[in-house]
Amino acid sequence: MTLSKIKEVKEFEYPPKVTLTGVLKGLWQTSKLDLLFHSLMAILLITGLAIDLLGGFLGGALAPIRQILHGYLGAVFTIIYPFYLIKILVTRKTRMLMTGINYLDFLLYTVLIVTGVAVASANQIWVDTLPWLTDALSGLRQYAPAIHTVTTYVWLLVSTLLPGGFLHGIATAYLISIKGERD
Amino acid sequence: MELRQHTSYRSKESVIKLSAQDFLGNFTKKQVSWMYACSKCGECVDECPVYQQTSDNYTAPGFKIKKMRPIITKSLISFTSMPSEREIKNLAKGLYECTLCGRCVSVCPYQYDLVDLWEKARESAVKIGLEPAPIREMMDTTFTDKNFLKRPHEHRTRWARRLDVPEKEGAETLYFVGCVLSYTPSLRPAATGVTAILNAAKEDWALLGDEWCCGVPLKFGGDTERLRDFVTHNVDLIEASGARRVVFSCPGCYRMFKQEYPKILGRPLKFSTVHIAELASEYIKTGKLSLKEKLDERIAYHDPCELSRLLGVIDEPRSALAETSTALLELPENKINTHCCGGGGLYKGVDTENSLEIATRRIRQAETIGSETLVSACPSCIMNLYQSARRAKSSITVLDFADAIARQIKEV
Repeated sequence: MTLSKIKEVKEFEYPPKVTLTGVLKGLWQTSKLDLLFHSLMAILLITGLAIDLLGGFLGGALAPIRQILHGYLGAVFTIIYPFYLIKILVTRKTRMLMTGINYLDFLLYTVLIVTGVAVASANQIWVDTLPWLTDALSGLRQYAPAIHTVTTYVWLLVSTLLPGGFLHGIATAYLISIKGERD
Repeated sequence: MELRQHTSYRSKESVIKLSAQDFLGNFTKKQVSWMYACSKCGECVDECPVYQQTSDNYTAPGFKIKKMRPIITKSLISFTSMPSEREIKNLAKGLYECTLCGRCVSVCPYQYDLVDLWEKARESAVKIGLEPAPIREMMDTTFTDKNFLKRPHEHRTRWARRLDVPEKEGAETLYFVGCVLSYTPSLRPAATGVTAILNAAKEDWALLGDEWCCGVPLKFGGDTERLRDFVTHNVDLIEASGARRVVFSCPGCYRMFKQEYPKILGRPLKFSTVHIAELASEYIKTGKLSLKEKLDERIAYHDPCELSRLLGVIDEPRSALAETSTALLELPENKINTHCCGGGGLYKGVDTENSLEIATRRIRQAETIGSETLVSACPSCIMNLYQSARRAKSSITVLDFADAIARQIKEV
């Protein structure tokens, strides 16, 4: 018999209801890294789509969205992503539940991160502080924005149809929206 | 896809035409969403009592979802692939290797109702004939004999012979005994305990004349089509009697009446429902029931999953038992975090050995805290814990809640 550490639940009511606070609390309890990963993922996807699809209409808001929300938060995502991935890969129970499409998701996230970093590496701060990075990614830089954008749409399509991370997000949003009501 | 089933798994060798639309096609949008929304965190895996016991991936809640997801996806997007026949058979088997204890729901960080999901999946398994043979037999017996123990229906109230059980019409309270207590001689003290409590409290009560099984074997087994007959029979009988309240010993029956019957009938019941643990606690508090001096006996209370986690009856049995003993102990996994005894969800019918082994864990926990008596308020828990204690040669006495209270009633 496998004896595991007992998880103590403080409050519970059956049948349970899925709520936004409940989901955020759940993410927080599961791991802080999970909460950070999912929140950043959502922000980066929304801002990325806004930049690509609504760029012409955003006027003065475009620059801060691109630079701060998508750029700086993208940098934070880049830093935490390896830790998130390692956590998933070293945990037996999560490995047991992961599917092929989840690993494809991770591959696509990696492409997004590399191309995102390639675009950002042209910024003066990186040219000054990490010139080797700028040099290493220089060959990729001109194609990076296109690869970054195309990969995003490929991920949206693939992870909706197969299903992967995006459908996971949509399903969660749906469950929150119905506020635990029976359908 | 064509599935040829093994004889070991079903009484008759049969070929089943299985398509994505057939299996799990009964899931609602909400249930489909639970499967896609699952974050694969694996909290449910670690905490599942059956997986802890068997280490078989197909008993792990999250793993079952992983195997169910492509079946649903296939029904939505035709070019995606289905799991293999072998995987589907293992999945169907895994659906029944579950005690429906609800631990997976309570530890799910996002609160997805997996008990509902498993029950719905079992329903689908029955529709295409993938339920294990013992389950099919149990459901058929329930339907024909009105109990799942293969006993003659006319013997249902035999336990009450020579007992002070009022025979009358128009009683305020009815006692719904349930199949296990009605037909299991070793559990007779549990039913006689309820009788003693109701009589001592001078309750205006009676038995339900033609009580049928509450239907829980059909619900848990997945044969919900035949369940309605049981619901309407019991409810019609109770409502026609004019009773205002029904009291239960079995948390399974209680939950059926409280949570499932109104859903099936599409209306609230015209009577209230109460478990004997709640009623006894109320009697003691209000002075309707006087107890003798507390015993110097180290008693531990095992929370039945359905009563505590799924129905929220947690404090009442404790407050009542605290009046019977000077030392009421808490088991390590208690209240809403209770560890299943292994006897729920018809699991014992498909894997008796592991079901009893799960109960042994509970017995060992009771021994570790120095308990002499282990009390529970569920006939299935009592049966499993008792059998397991005997197998494990434990000195622990396993006692039903009503029996424990009845022994302490002060005679006036």
